This record gives sequence, C-alpha cells and structure tokens, in this order.
Amino acid sequence: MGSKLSACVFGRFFSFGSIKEVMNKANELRSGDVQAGLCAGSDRERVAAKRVLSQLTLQDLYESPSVPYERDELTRLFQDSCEPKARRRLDGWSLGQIREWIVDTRTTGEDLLAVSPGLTPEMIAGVTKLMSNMDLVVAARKIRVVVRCNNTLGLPGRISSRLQPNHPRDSVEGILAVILDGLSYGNGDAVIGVNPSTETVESTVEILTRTKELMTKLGVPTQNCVLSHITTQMQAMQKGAPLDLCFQSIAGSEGANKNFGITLALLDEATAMTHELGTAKGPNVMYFETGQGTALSADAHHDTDQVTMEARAYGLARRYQPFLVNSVVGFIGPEYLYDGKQITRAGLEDHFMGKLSGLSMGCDACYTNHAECDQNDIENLEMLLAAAGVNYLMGIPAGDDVMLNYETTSFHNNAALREIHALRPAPEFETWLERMGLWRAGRLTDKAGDASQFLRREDVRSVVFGRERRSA
Amino acid sequence: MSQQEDAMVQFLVEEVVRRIAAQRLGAGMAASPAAAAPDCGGEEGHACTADPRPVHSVVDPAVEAQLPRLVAVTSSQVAMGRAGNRFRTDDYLRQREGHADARDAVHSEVPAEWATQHGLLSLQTQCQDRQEFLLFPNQGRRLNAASRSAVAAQAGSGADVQLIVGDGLSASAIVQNGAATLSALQRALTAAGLRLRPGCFVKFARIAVADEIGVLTKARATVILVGERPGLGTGDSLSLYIAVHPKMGQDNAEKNCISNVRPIGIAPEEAAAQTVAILKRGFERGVGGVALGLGWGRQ
Repeated sequence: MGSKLSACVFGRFFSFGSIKEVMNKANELRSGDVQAGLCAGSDRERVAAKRVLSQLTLQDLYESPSVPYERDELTRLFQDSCEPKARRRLDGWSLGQIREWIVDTRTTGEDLLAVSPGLTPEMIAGVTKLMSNMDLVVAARKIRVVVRCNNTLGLPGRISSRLQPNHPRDSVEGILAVILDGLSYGNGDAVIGVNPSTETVESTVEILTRTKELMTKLGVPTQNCVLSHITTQMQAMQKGAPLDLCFQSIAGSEGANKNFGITLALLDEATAMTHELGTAKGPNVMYFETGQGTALSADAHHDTDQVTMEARAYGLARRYQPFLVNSVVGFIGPEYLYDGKQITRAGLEDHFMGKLSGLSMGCDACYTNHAECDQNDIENLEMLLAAAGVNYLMGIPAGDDVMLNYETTSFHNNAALREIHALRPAPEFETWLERMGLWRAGRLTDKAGDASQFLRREDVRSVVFGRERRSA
Repeated sequence: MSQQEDAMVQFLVEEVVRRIAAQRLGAGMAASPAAAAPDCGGEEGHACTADPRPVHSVVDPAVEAQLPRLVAVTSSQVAMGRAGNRFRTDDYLRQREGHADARDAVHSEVPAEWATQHGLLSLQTQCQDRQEFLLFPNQGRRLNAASRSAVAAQAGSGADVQLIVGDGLSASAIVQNGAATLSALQRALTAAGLRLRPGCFVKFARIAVADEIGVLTKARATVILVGERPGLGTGDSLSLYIAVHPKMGQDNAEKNCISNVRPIGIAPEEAAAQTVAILKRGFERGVGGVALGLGWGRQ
C-alpha cells in the first residue's frame, strides 16, 4: 500500500502515511481542518492527496473506516449494514473513474440511488473531495429523494421551505404571528419548525398544541415540529402533544452524539415512539440537523476531517428514513468554516453527500455574524442549491433569527427562488395556496405577503391572540 | 425532594418567569430597539440607529387593523411587504445596518478597567488577539499561565458557586448588560443561601474556560455569563452556562444554558431565578444538564 500513497506535483514529491491522512488532506481548505491540525500543508500537498485519492478503490475506503469499529457504534452500524452487492457495478474502479460515472449524463439519479446502500460514508466523502462545486451541483441535481409525511417533498420541479418562527421568549402569540406571515409568502411546506428558547416539556407541549391548532384551523397541509432535545419531545408525545415530526441534532461519531445526549438506542426508541404516538401520516416522520465541525467541537472527531465526519452523520440519518435532513452549514462559526467561500463549498458538499446517502436534503444556508460572510454570499449559495435540486431551505422574516442570533434565508428569498427557477411548492401545499388565493398559474398572487388576510376570520384570531397565557 | 415538590419548585419558577414576561410585554416589547434608542445627535459611537421601522410596509393590506397586532407580539420583521419577490428598499438597508452593528460588536473589546470597576479578578485565556480567538477556540478555553497562577493563589474550599464573566463573541453585551446580570445573580444566589467565591472576568473567553477555573477554585459549581454571538442588532445578548461539579472537558450535555439574557429577552432577575432552581436541583442530584430533567440543558 505504501507506494500507492504518494504523488508528485510540480516537482515536489508527497508521501502519505495512511488512507486517513490522504482523506484529511484532500479536502478543500477550511478553518476547521486547520484548527484540528489535519489539513494539507500547501496547495500542492492538497492536490497530491486528491491525486492519490483518485487512484483508490471503494474497497480501500471500506477497509479504512475513519473511526475504529471497536470504539464507535456508528462505524459498526455503517460497516455491518453496508450492502456490497448494491455497488457491484463499481467493483475495482478507482474513485476517479467513479467521479466520472457520477457526472456522466447517461448516469441517472436512479442509478446513483441504486448503488447508495453499498456506499459507506467514507466512500461518499471520498468522491466528494474529488468534485468541483459545479460537479456537486450536476450530480446532486440528478437525485430526487421523494418522502411523505402529511405532504410530499422532493418531487421534480418543486422546492419547499421550513418556516422557522422562533421567538426570543417562546411567546406562542409571537410564534403564530410569524407563521401567518410566512404562510402568506408560500413558505412552510417542509415543516413549521420552532427552536425553543427555554426548553421545558410544558413549553414544547404548548407550542406543538398551538401550532397544530392553527394548522388545523387554516387547513394547511404541512408538519409541525419543536426542536427541543429529543427526550423533551418524547415526554411531550407521552403527554399527548400533537407532534408530526420528531427532531434531533446528530453528528458523525458515538462521542459527538454523546455530547448531544443521544445514542443509537435512544434514536431507535424515539423513532418507534413517533410512529406510534405522533400525529403525522408518515411514513417519514423524523427530522435531523447536522453540520460540519460538530464532531470537532465536541472533541470527538477522532482526527478525522470534517467532510468525512459530516458524511457519517448522514450515514446515521439514513437508518431512520427521515422526512427532512439539513446541514446548518454556517451556524457553527468561522473556526470551522471561515468565510462565504468555505460555507458555500460546504453547503454544496453536504447537499450532495446527503442525497447520495438517499436522504431528503435541505439546507440551512446560513452564517453567524462573526464569520466573514454576508447576505450576498448566502443568496449565492441558495441559488446554487436551488439549481442542485435542494428539497427545502429555511424561511425566516428578513432571514434574521431573533432567537438563535444568526442569519439565514428569508420568506422573500424562497419566493424569489421559485421565480428564478420556475419551481413550485409541494403539491398538497400548492393546492392549499391556490385555495387561499395566494398562488395562481405558478406564481404568487398580489395577495401574497399580507398576513392580515388570515385574520379576517374570528376563529383564526382567537387561536393567535384569543387565549392569553395563564398568568396574564 | 418528592415529585410533588419538584413540580412545585418548577411551577414557582415558571410563575416568576410568566410575571416578568407579562411585565416586559406590557412595557412596550413591541417597540423595535430602534424606537427606544436615544437620538445620537450625530455623536460618533452613540447607541442609535436609523429611524424606527414603520409598523408595517404591506401595500394595500386586507385587514390593516390586524397588522399592528402581529407586529406587536414579535421582534421578527413581519409585515415587511414586498417589491415583487424582493425586499423593499428601506427594509433592505435596515438589514445592512443591523449586520454592520453586529460585525462591530464582534470586534469590540471590554475596556481594561471594567473588571476592577466591578470587583472582579481580571484574567485572560491563551489567545493573544481577537483573530486567534475567532479561529482557535481551544485557546479560548484555557487560561494563560499568569491567569492560572492568579486563580490558583486564590483557591479556597467550601464555596458553592464561582461566578465568571467572559467577553465571548460580544464584548458590547458585557459592557451593556454584564453588570446588571452579575448583580442579579449575586443577589439571587446569596438569598438562596449559596456561598459565592469572588468573581472573575476573562478576556477572549469561550464557555469551557469555566471548567478550568472551577477545577482550580474547587467551587461546587460555576456560572459563566458570556457575550453571545450577535444577531442583527442584538449585540447586547448574553448567555449563562451552569456547570455542577466542574471538571476539565465537561460535556455540554452536562451543563445547563439560559440564553438570550437582555433587556428585551430574558431579564437578569428571571435568569437568576432559573439559575438558582437549576443549581439547587443540581446539588441535590449531583449532576447537571440534560440528566437534570429540567429541560434547560441545551446544545
């Protein structure tokens, strides 16, 4: 193997000690790998690593999991559930040949999804490191992952959004006001998903109950979700709260998930409980968020680069056939993805890797205000993701989350993406928008963007404002 | 404590939270921060922004009277109206202003004399400057040698809580709300019969620097208040992280967090009341974070 792991680039010879080192150093530059001390020492070394990687086979990568089998329940899951038969057509091919097969115009999304069960996260990450940004768009665009809950996501020619009506103090009135605003722009067909500020079981129950009540009154065909810790949501379900999607943040190693307070067994239990007690039609009822750098931030990355660790998070997600998965790509900060360029690259990588893992991929195309990034960078990324066939993006008033203090995509931008790419909402939601007079002939009507129209109805007003909180 | 007593404690805390929330709502939470800001008179560095946002910018709304009600219950920018599928010009520029304010908060610094003015021991992490602090978080999680000796020299035994202030990602937040939050915590913790160690301020601080300080001072718990990473126009927001039985490298899942502590978010008194409840239960059970079952453990 030793001779295989070396390459010469413009007169300089580079030799790598292991496949893991090749994988680490083949990444495009990002601050998280620098912080972890894993990245290539020069651009030439980076390309040398890519050159070496392009000569490796899937079997080479199968035999070199980034975290040891004995030490990590995720590695055991990936290695044990991998179906070599599914990737038989790629046997003996180099990663370079596989990249060409992926972008070949004759290779379809169905072909890619057919080999997916045979691919471990390391294989998916490996080929991603050989792809340019446009490669990632071309390849991801082929893959459609169609999922069903109360409505249908992932159909060709459609794009959806998560309406994220967070409030700094979890005021339910405030949350419902933002929901009405977002619905009026045709947002919210992926999920109405609230990040709570103060996570008690009681507030999770209350937010679930009131969002469901509003959805029912207006007849909106979508899903509700409160993104508290999974154990909090499980208690809420047991108390009878109406929960459509069960959420959890996940990461690519057992240790990183321990930092989130979760294990495989807990996720298994929560999924079973959601199928039993949840209020959605299904069959896809789970929602996961991920993001490059999560494992490193928990010091549970096992000296593995953050692209590979991210692919492992998708390897975990696919066990549960989730309705939604999105990377929260720029949320974690500039120590992992420094600027707009790194965030854009990571967003495209994550979207492609998730789709090749067979997931219904969205993206929280976002940044924090301590990164070298602005709204123009994020608009670029969302236009690229729409071109790549992303299932959904986030929708927030003005793209500004007033509770989590970060910047993402807006109600307006989601509407504009539909305009730019002639995309439509999820079919059930589109029918609803038409019934409400907000959407006609493939575009928003003049009535759109005006939440006051929902408040003509006394019963809707009473859901939003009528019931004051107990103390008031 | 029995389950019934647990429920009672939780009910009481929630009652306090609700009352304070109701007071705040009554006190004009609806007004945008810009509306409350004093006129700067053209003075450099004064806390003013552009003119207050109009109540709404929707052209020809269906039921105009309802829009102020929606705007009043959230600080999110609802009822913005639209220019086609894009923002109206005024709102677009307002976002740019908010981003500029946040960027400036990130690069702000707590004045050198602030710590002593508030009776705090002044410490620094291993970061030499802000750029290093942004790119290498681990260096913001450990004290430099001089600070370590300063803390070790003061280490005692028998204290319940070590209070720590860190600049984190917004020194502006510490300058604006640090003092009020610190004194609310001191009052609430003392009233609850907990013994406090002398507090400290850490420059270029990440949350986990509390682990090292807690271990050095042998306090039973640490509470660190740090400047949050700012959102648009929220350069004044703090978070509290509470750790029972501090140890090096303690998981976040073993800690409890109260975020969004600021005048139009969670009030200092409310945050202090929650902190007391968390600490009491944490001491009883010898654990913190998710395992505490209070629902306040957050990632």
